[in-house]
Amino acid sequence: MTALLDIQGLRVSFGGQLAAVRGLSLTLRQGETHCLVGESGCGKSVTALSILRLLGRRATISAERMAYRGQDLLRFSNRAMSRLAGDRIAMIFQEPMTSLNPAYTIGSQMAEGYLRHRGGRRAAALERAEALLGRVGITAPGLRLGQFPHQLSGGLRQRVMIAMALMCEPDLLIADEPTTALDVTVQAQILRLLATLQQEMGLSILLITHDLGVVARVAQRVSVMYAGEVVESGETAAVFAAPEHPYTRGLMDCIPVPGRLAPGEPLGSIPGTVPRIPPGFVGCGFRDRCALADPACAAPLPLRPAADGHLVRCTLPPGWRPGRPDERPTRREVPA
Amino acid sequence: MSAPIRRRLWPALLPARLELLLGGLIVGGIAVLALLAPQIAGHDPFAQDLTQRLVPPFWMEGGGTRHLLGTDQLGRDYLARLLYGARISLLIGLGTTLASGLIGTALGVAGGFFGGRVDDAVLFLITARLSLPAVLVALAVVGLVGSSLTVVVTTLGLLLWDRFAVVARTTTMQIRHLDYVDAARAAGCSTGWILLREILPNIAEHLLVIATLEVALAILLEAVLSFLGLGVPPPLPSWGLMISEGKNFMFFSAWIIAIPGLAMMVLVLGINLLGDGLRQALGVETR
Amino acid sequence: MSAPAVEIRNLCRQFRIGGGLGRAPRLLTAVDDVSLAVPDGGVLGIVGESGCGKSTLARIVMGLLAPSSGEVRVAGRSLAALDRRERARLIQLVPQDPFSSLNPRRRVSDNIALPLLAQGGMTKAEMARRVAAMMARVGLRPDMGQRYPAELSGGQRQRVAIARALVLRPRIVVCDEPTSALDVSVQAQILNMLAELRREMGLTLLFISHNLAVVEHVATEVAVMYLGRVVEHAAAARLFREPRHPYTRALLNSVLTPEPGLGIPDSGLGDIPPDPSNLPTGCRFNPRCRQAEALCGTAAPPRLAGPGTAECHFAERPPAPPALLPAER
Repeated sequence: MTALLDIQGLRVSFGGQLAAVRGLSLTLRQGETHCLVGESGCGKSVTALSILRLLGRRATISAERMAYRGQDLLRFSNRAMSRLAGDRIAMIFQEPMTSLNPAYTIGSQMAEGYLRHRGGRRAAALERAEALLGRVGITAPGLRLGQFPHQLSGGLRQRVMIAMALMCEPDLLIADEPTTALDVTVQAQILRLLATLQQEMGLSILLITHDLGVVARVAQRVSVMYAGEVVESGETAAVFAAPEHPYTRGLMDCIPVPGRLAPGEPLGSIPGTVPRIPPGFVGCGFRDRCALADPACAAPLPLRPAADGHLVRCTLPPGWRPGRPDERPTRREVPA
Repeated sequence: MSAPIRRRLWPALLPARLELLLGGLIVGGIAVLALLAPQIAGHDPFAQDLTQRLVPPFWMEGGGTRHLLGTDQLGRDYLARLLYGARISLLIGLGTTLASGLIGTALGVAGGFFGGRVDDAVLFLITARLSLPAVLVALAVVGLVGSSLTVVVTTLGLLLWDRFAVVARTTTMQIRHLDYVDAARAAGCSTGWILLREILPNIAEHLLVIATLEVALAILLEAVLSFLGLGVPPPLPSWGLMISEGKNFMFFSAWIIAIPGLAMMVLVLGINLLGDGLRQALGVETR
Repeated sequence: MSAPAVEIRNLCRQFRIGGGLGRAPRLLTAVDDVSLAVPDGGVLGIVGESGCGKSTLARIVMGLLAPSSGEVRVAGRSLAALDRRERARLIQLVPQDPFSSLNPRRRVSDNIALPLLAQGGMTKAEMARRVAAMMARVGLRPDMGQRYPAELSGGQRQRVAIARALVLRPRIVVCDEPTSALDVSVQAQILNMLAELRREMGLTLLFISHNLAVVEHVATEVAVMYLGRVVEHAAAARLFREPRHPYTRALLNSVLTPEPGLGIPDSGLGDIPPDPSNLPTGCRFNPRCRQAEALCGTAAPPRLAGPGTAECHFAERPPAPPALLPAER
């Protein structure tokens, strides 16, 4: 499969004070859903926004490679980027309340982007909008075109956002926590919709989320982020079956799953809080919270293959499992 | 943890800091001068000397060092009158704003917090007040009751509370549904406590900005009233009164109205800069 | 058997919305005839989606909102009869949003001391001692007392909110989505801490959440709310094993557990969101119910008869199997 989006070594910092992303690498293949998962402060939203240059002037972005279909996005002029955004690469956001302009009708907002990228008559754009609203499962689409965002519920607004994103038939959809603000039943519906559209339109999706449940059910591949870097990535089934990074393991233990724990048994937890990484920080960002930290963790770590082939950024040997409490694993060699 | 944020925002705040600095210097400087008036003035502002009438200021010919800013038509030292006049302006500005601030805040917070009928009543009062022309009402009152410092402060205080009320009401409405207000009620706090200790401190900075603007407005209004003869009574050295009394001589001794006029402009400018700077500085640092 | 810690009897709450010149305002029923009892030392989980009325119910039980009709009894006494200080000693609140639940102008230790101040009659030294003890209990370092809320993370702020709720050692704590705004790892810390504190202090909890997995972990009994009514009330273990109401089943089906390869479930609820100001006739769930029949649109189902029952004409029927998308390639 061809790589639709290829990011290598992405670094984003703000005002020289905060290193939000430190060397992230991610490859999204055509037709697949790739989830970028992590907690707040890990840099996942920053990563998504940096692809389309939505971060503003206060951010410094650099990368070894940030390619869309082989073209280096970092070399694009702002004009070229704005031609790409909304057309080939579309983005939807978390809060449908604030992503839609309350002063304009649904129809005019949906038509605006399409007219800007493709030109043509307004009537044609509105026809297409109506068709797409129907496609995303909104009843009475013709009526909706004339309605305002506040007249719709959260779930409907998010469907409108998706329809709007699809107006120009993009190859890639970046979805930043698209269901976090929605009720659990609506969340399932929206995710089903995205999966269906993906199959029908050959859409590739980069889904940002903090919810491992969403990742498990929706993604073919996953990248787990912590403190600005990817700490584990690979096929979803592999990562969930045999996570090797202590953070990934800790995260999975934290999540309450109905029926997994006996009543009264505490949830697994990770002590401490997510750190703010100053620029110039080197080595594993998790080492201050990790029970298995070792002096070797302070050196820069590349992604290494885990036991079943997926990638992990850790000094622990592949396939390592927690055994006796006093057992100290021998660390991997970090090349000079 | 807040220090790094402040350092990062410093360059963006420079214009606001400049305004704040400049405004603060001007207002502070005038306040100090007004406070030290008895020491600096050198003359009694009420002492008339008919042999020294309309002496020009020292930079014009005919002027000297005895009366640095000259004298007015009754031989009173102008510098002294200017400095004592600053006291009056500041007193009126602060006094009026205090009174109107108390009234307006009380009304606005009550309306914003309780809603319903109370809010309807407050809105009615605000609308009624806004439909009255403040200057005309002030003129009428002073004309009926007679002019004095107390009357002016009271009248203006009872007229200029509308902006306080509107801002207090809106900001109260924004925060009355926040969780910490609920938590205070859950903790067993009385309504009075909540208004005083939960709501008020969190709207204070908005009110502060309004207060600085109202001070400027009050000073200007007093000058207008005094100019029209219905403000502070002579022989008190109000700047407005000085302009009014000096208008008969303005073609030959233009300085007699220019000096108090300029002083008022500088004071009001300083207050507005201060208010602006405060608004920008606070606006950025509030989350 | 001791008296229930919280008893809710026929609680109703309506709101007037809309209405202007010449238009009569509509009546929105946020809470409709809810009756529940929470046993002493138990944890009642209240689940439902937005608009179901659970937050309104929480506020009424807290005494922050007056009911339109019905009664709340706390520790055997009528809530309305308690003065604010007595009420504060009995029942406290942990609000949802850690970013707005603390007064930003007050230091952390003063925020925690608020209920003590409201009680009155305590010396400063005594208050300081109790605040310090509570801070240690919730895992906050002593030096954090002097900080302002803006300097703390979401998890730390929630600990402050919990400390504030517990400093008077109340009997009952209403937790309104206490971990919904927190990261998963922080949520686990807070939930574990709440469980410990509950055991130590013998608390009764009313735990409101939209997250069913969290409720399953925390609660001993669960009440499911829909459009202002409690549609099912059962012991937690039973509810999650054998849900009786179609809405409960739909909710449970929609939970996305972190198990790859299972695909995305179809809750089968359809597209139309529930509208509290425009209630359907008969069973209010019938427009979205898969098993609805003619009877459901005309006759309201029999009322709940205590724990273990569901408000459905066909509560005893076996559920329809949920539909799933084919497993991922």
